[in-house]
Amino acid sequence: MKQLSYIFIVFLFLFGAGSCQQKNDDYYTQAFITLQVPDTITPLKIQGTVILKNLSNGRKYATSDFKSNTVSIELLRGTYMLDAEGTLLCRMPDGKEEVKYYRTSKNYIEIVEHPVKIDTEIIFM
Amino acid sequence: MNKSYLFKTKKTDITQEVALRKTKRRWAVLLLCLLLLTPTFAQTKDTTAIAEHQNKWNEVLKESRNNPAFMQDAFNTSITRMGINFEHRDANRHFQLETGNGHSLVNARVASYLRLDKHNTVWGGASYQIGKKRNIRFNSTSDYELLYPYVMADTIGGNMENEQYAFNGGYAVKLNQWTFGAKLDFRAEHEYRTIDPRPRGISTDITLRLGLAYDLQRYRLGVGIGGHTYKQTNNVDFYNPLGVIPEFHMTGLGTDYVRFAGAVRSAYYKGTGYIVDFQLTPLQESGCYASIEENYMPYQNILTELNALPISQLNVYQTNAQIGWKHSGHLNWTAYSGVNYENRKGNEHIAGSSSSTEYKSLITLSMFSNRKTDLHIGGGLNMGTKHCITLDARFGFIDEKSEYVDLKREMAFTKSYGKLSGQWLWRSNTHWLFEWNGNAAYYHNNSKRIIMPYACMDKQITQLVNETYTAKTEHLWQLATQIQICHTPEKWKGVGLFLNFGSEYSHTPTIHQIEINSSAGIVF
Repeated sequence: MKQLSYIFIVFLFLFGAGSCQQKNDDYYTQAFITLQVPDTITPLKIQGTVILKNLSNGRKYATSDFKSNTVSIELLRGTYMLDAEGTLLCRMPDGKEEVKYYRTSKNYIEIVEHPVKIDTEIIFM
Repeated sequence: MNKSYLFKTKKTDITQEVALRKTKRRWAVLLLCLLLLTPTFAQTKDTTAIAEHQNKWNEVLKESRNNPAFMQDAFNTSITRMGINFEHRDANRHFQLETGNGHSLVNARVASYLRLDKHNTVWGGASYQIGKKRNIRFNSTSDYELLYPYVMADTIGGNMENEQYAFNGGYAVKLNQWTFGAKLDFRAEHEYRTIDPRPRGISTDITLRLGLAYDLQRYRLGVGIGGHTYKQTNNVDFYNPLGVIPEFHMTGLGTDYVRFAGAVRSAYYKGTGYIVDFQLTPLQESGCYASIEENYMPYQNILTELNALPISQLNVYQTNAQIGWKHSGHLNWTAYSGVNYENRKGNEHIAGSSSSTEYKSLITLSMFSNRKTDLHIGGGLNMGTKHCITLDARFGFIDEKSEYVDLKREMAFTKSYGKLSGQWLWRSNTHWLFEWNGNAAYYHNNSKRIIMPYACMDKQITQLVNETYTAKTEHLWQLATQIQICHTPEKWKGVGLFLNFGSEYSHTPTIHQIEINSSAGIVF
């Protein structure tokens, strides 16, 4: 009877271990989005909002915290659509300083690596 | 590293489906004829066999009979039951929106257990069911209990017509100390709706189990393995081009796979899993018994229209364990404790960009989990021969938690429950048998918790989540009663009639549900 109890307990542990499987829990990553300005002008100060929309679940992540012309944001790994718009204080080739409205968008970007660097060219409106 | 999944898509046209249905009907009829024509051992000409097979005391070792080797001497007598069963359920509100608030089902079935001789036993059955399931909401997929949360859904819902074929068969043989058994279960189900939106689900489910047992001293030890394979093709059509609404691919707790919502209305599910079990039963009438069974079943959800892109995989782990002591004497009694555990883990495949005809699957994230634990203890008493009374009491604790990772969603509750059941079997003489069964259960909700991002949920999903939470976390009463009369006239030489009627009432502060069932047929 004692031997049977031991066999029973061993099987119980084996069965319990069987329900452990690899969990895909590498959920988040850091993304650095850099807004690229044409070479002919010098960016002085940039402000605006960068919005990333997750294509799988529709959730939007937004940030306006620019360091130079780059924002960083932590978000769920996956595929995204990017939209950014705002204003840029820049020095033109003739030396004049101007404020210009800009925007940029990409309809598909992959944010899966650790970290992810995305460069996108802005267009002026 | 990016992986590409390249699958062949299959379409079954209407002609092939009709041929498949005819083939299934032929197999069911063939099995029925084989059962009826097989000569048997210990087939009694009165109600002795019915009394043995209906006696709830014989269900003490019911868990061990999932292993086919333990069916070899599960009963001393042979029996075949053939009849028609009618079941009707109706509730004022849903216990689960996705499964409807009622159904009306008619089922013709035959089931047989035949002791061919001291060493060989066969058993089997076949059934055909038609009917209707009512007011199904947020679910366009069949077999919701198997596949949730990865089902297709829309905001309209409706009734579903149901048609099901099932058959099962098994064989066990005892050679000296060893017993070997094998069994096969097959189910084919077809559900559809005849008004827009028109979901259609065709599913097949096959389970094969093998068992081996050895008689060691006063006990029988057994091990078993099995395989389970499942498939379902599911699509939603609209005959009115002006009334097309989006279909959503649900991913748990009100979330859905937004990227493919809308016009993607075809999916198929497939999976192959395993079953392992260990059994211990006493060879004499008294002794210890134990049963552990582990099931693992993965279900993959594949979108047919997107070149067979898999969008999710659901891994279901189930562990059922029970240990107890059985004593037979002037007063039979048993005491047991057990655990039923289910862990459901949902993985979402994130699809990359489509180029030419294929979507790449970039990464997989485990987003959904559901864990259910039922710990219980219980005991039973059995006494009498002419008036055989069996009482069973069971007390337990349920803990259920569902989570979705991002945005964080959670639904959790704990319940304590008590169940009492009783059976009275009366054989007035060898040709009449009266049976009464009664059950009462109370589930008391101890605690509950819900976390939802209500600020970014739309009205319909908020309603779905709140109604599900309310139904799951209310206190629940259940009362059931059933009576059965069997008569085997002497002139009929072992053939008898049975008539059965039962009802169950379930009550929460907001939901009242009544279920009635009745069946009639012959037994021999």
